[in-house]
Amino acid sequence: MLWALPAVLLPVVIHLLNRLRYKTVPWAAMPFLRKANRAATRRAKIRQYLILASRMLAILFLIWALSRPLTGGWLGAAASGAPETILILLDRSASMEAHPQASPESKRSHALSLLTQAASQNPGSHFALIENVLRQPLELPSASSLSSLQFTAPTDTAADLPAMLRSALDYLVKNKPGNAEIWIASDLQTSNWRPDSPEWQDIVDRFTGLPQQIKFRVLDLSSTSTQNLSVAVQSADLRLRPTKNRQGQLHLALEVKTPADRQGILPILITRDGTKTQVDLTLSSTTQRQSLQFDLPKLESGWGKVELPADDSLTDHSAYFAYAPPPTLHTVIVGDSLAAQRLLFAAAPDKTRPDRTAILLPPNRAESIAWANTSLIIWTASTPTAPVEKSLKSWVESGGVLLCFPPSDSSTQGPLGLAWSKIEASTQDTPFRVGTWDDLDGPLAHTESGPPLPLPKLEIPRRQIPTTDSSHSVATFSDGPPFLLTRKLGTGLLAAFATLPDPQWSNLADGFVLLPAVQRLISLGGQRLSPPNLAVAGEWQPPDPLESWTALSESSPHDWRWNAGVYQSGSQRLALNRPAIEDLPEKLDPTSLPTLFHDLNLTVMTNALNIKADSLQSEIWTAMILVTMLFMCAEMALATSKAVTSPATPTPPPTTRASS
Amino acid sequence: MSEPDFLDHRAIARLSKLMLHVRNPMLGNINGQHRSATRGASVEFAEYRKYAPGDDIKHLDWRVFGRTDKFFIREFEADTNLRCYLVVDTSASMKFSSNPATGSRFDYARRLAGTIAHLLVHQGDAVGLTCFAEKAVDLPPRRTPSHLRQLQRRLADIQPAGESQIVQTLHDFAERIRQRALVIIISDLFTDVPPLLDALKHLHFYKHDVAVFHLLDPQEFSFDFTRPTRFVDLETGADLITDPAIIRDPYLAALQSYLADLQHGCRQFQVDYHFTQINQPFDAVLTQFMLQRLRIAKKGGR
Repeated sequence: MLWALPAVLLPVVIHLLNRLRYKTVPWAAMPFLRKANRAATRRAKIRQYLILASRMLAILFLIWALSRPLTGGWLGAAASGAPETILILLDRSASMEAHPQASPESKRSHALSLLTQAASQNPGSHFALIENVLRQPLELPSASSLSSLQFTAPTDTAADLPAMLRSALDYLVKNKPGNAEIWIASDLQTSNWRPDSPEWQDIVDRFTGLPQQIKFRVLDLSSTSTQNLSVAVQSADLRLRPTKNRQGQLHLALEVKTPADRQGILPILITRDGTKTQVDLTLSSTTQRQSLQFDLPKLESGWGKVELPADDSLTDHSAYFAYAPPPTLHTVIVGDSLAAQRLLFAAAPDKTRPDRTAILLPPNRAESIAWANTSLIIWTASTPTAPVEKSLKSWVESGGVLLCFPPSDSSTQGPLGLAWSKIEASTQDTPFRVGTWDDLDGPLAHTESGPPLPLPKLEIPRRQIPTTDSSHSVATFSDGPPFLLTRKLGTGLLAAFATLPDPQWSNLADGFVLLPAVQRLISLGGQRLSPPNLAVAGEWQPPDPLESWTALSESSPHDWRWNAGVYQSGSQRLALNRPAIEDLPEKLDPTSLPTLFHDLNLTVMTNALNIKADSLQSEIWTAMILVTMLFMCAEMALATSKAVTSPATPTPPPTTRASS
Repeated sequence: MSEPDFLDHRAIARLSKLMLHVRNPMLGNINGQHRSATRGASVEFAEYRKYAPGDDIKHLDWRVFGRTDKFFIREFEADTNLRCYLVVDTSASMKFSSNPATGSRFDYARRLAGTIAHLLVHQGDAVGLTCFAEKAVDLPPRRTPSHLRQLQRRLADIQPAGESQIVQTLHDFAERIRQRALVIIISDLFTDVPPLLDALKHLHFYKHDVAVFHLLDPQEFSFDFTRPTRFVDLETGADLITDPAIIRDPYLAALQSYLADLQHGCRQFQVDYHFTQINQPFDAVLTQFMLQRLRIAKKGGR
């Protein structure tokens, strides 16, 4: 409707045309006319200008009223006119399903209401939607259908606003609209916006370099929620119970986040294969890890759901898990020393367990390793031959775990670029000891029941420090050098201890550290032998695009691309859960958005959660009409203040009678 | 010769029942209908007319009889004490007309002047014509029918043109015409008031009986324009584009002020001022004029 703005000039045009269309009149009483023209009071001219201005302003506000402008931060749209293209960037991540202040609609639903109403004010604009999952522009035939689209439905995924803006940028570069606006609806979660990312500068520079000016409008749907509960499944492993009947035991590792002021007992409901079990968690911190075990009658695959009591957010108080019988995990120990013998025990302590096997291979038979079925290779020999080195590298990069110990022959070179220092011996009375280690994650993490591994008990009279590029020290000696380091290679891992499980070297063979560390590394290496049963919604892709995955967990249609749940394809089951970053409560301060967008044209509608969709334009429309009528009354008052249209006849002078 | 078409004979017939009087005694020694201030024997030959039975034969011109065997009587000037000078504005501003159906201001002036002249001559008074504009016309006052016809002819032929020179004309007139006369000024008087009043004062000084017919078009008086207009000066051709809505009030104020000053000045110098809008019936205007003069004459008494 703003195309009608030039109509504001109509009174001026009519006025000028009237002046041009003057009537030519031969006139005799010019002296009076000239005198009057000189004496035409400033007030009269000002009155004429005021009449003209009143007419123009009446038309202007009428056009504004008819264009149905929006209030709040979007008011600028009223003055600028409808853009040719509007890109709607919709954050429909898991956090957008929160119901702030017990509202009946989620942030996402409210955003859609506001966006639909705002879009209806731009009927001539072309709309496209970019949502956070696919991040591909979707042409919209009509903005009114926004709420009913599949691609605006809730998800259990995270959002990546910089990536969405890049998609928008690519769309604008490809389609070259005349002028465009980008509407962003988001709860300003920091983990989604990543304001510290250096990407922003590049994004801003590219938008600045566009030939057309782009306007950004952010719908701030952030809210502070202090009573949010969230639960995440860290792992779900089905293990063989040491019983005769090959029964299983499900090990669930959970991470529960609670508000700081929440104390006492938190009930956790676990549904597994139709069976509900409640576990009471005693709250001791805002983030707690809980390990649960469930005895299962059979070693069979299954799935389940963990739930917390409901709160503002309906998406982060539940999580799914799936489990499958563990594959046989085979370990190969390469070496022929006493330490190798002890390592054989650490790899397969229970010979009766068919899911844990280990063999000892002399170094000269390393070529015969069954690479495909091996989950862990423990190398206690010197440098492997070139073919073995090559096979080792390929195997590790494909997901295998290579654990190295100092070679018995005191050589200084190990496999895959690993180097050993000279053997160091401590003094008799003060063996080397482990000073620090990572007890949260990795092979030296604390036990499932909670207590840490007793690394301080290790006495290490002799050591040979491993070094390699890009390594990470999982544990260090008290004097600094690494005790255990790891290095990622492809999808696999290279690990190296600085001592041997040999009485002359250390008491590592006692097993209280070695056994759990080796078992964990076996499990890690075994992951490549079994497909994952836990993944992140929105990030996971089927290995085979032709595979069909159907939801097991919900009766309503679920889409593995963006909904959490348990899905099955053939015999394989997978639990998809929302990303962990969606549970992070940090929000971006709306006042920092202009800094983030630098010099780009940005309008932020703050507190959008408190704005009702149907009040977006009605109030300002009414006000515009009132102002229009005001100016029309002013014009009428000015125009009729002196009878211009019906001039009064002056009184003729009486005839004089000259006195005698 | 046919009568000029600007005369309304029915109006003349009605007006003929009245007589045009003067306020001041006239100078002259011929018995007439008007009071005379002097006695004397100065007469001027005016023209010949055919002898009609009953005429005084002492005025028979025997020389003409000897030449033509026909009898002619000699007519003389100043047979009456009233000499009237019709001073008619023939400047271009007199061409103005807001209603072509009623004619221009000059048409009205011409009709007025022509009617007055007719009445005067038929009541035995002399009437002359002076026009002031680019082309001056100056007919001395005569009372003969032939003079009247000449006067009417001149009125009929005149086309208003040029700029008005009323002030200078009146001053010249006052200096030239020393014998008291009735001076009837018919004009739009579009000139500055003080010089005009000076000229009227000059005439008053020489004891002339002055009457002014101030002719204005109704549109000049009401200024009822409603749209932007380009006004073109009829006399100079200069133009002015303006919005009447803006200047109407100051125009009317200026006009009213001018009229008030003029009226006051005329009263001061004993000038009969007659404000006349040219849409008014001229016979009503003349009737009022003549009745007013009759009342003045009765007051003066004879």
